[in-house]
Amino acid sequence: MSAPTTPDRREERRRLHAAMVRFADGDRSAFDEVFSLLWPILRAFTIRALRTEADSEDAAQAALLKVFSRIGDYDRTRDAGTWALAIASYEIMTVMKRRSRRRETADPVEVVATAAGPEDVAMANELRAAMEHALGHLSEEDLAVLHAEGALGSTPTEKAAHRKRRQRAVDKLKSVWRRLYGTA
Amino acid sequence: MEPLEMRSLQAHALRAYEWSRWRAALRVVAVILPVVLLSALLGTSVELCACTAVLVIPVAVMLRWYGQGFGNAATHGVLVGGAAAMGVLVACEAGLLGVFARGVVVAACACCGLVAGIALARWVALEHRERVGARALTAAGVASAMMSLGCAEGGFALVAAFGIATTLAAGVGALLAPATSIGRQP
Repeated sequence: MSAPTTPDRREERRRLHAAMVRFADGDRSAFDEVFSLLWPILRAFTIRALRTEADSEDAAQAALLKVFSRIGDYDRTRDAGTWALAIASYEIMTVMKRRSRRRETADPVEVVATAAGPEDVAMANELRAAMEHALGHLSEEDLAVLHAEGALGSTPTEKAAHRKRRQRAVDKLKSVWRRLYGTA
Repeated sequence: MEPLEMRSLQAHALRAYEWSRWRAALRVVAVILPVVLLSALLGTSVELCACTAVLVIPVAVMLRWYGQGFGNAATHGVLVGGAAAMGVLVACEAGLLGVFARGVVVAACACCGLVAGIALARWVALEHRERVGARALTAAGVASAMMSLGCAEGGFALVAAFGIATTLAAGVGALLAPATSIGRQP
């Protein structure tokens, strides 16, 4: 079986979104379609990020269950695939944290794989879109603080104040992310 | 993944989904209960408030759990009916009902019901293009049940006027809706 081409994938994502909207609205008959379309996407995403069979399957399963358990909060105006991948990215981070705690691997693994295939680029773009959507909920002041590099200010007091403002902005971003995607 | 594991994962996913729907459905209680409590505080008999709560809460929760447009219809009905009941109760408390003749008050209630019915039908038609009538009438029914909280203070005639007008307007609005709601969900 050949790998799906980009238009095929786009069509799949469109079908996933339509099925997810029906499913989120209570149409139980859409379950099989949502499951069969979503599982390969999550599986491919987690395996690309984690690279080990067991960890990626764990993360994909956890992400899938989280998607289904948060379906009541799904915003139908947002792309279902992007929403699911945002949840999966959190599960990947959880697995990576667990992995680093246990020191199972010496190599830190990036969330987005370094090999820039078309799928990697598409998924990275989706995550970026999810982050931009979340950033859109912050005030201009918070955005300016987040975009400013390093601790601005000439005196130690100004630097400390900037660090505090930055931490507050990060906390706000986390809270927005949690509200939009249910995780942070 | 083995087929058996896959089936187990599907079962878990389906269970997670149903729990999610129940959780989302139960949120409507947070809207109904304050209206019922406020109504009881403003003078409606406790028995009537309890009856309304016992009637409306399970119906609204079940409809929201079932979904497929009926959940949203129930939510809209709760909001519209709750607002109407509060309107009647506040008007009674402020002594406004005594200022006007009884017929005028009933007519005003019927007008509010007409507006509410049309709004409910429009809301439903904006979201769905099929079974608009059933969904709009569901919303009107829930709205009328919520409105009964204003019954003891304002009198049965107000509730009846509101309920009949809402149901009629929702039905007529739903009949006229298909032409304007093409492109929505089935």
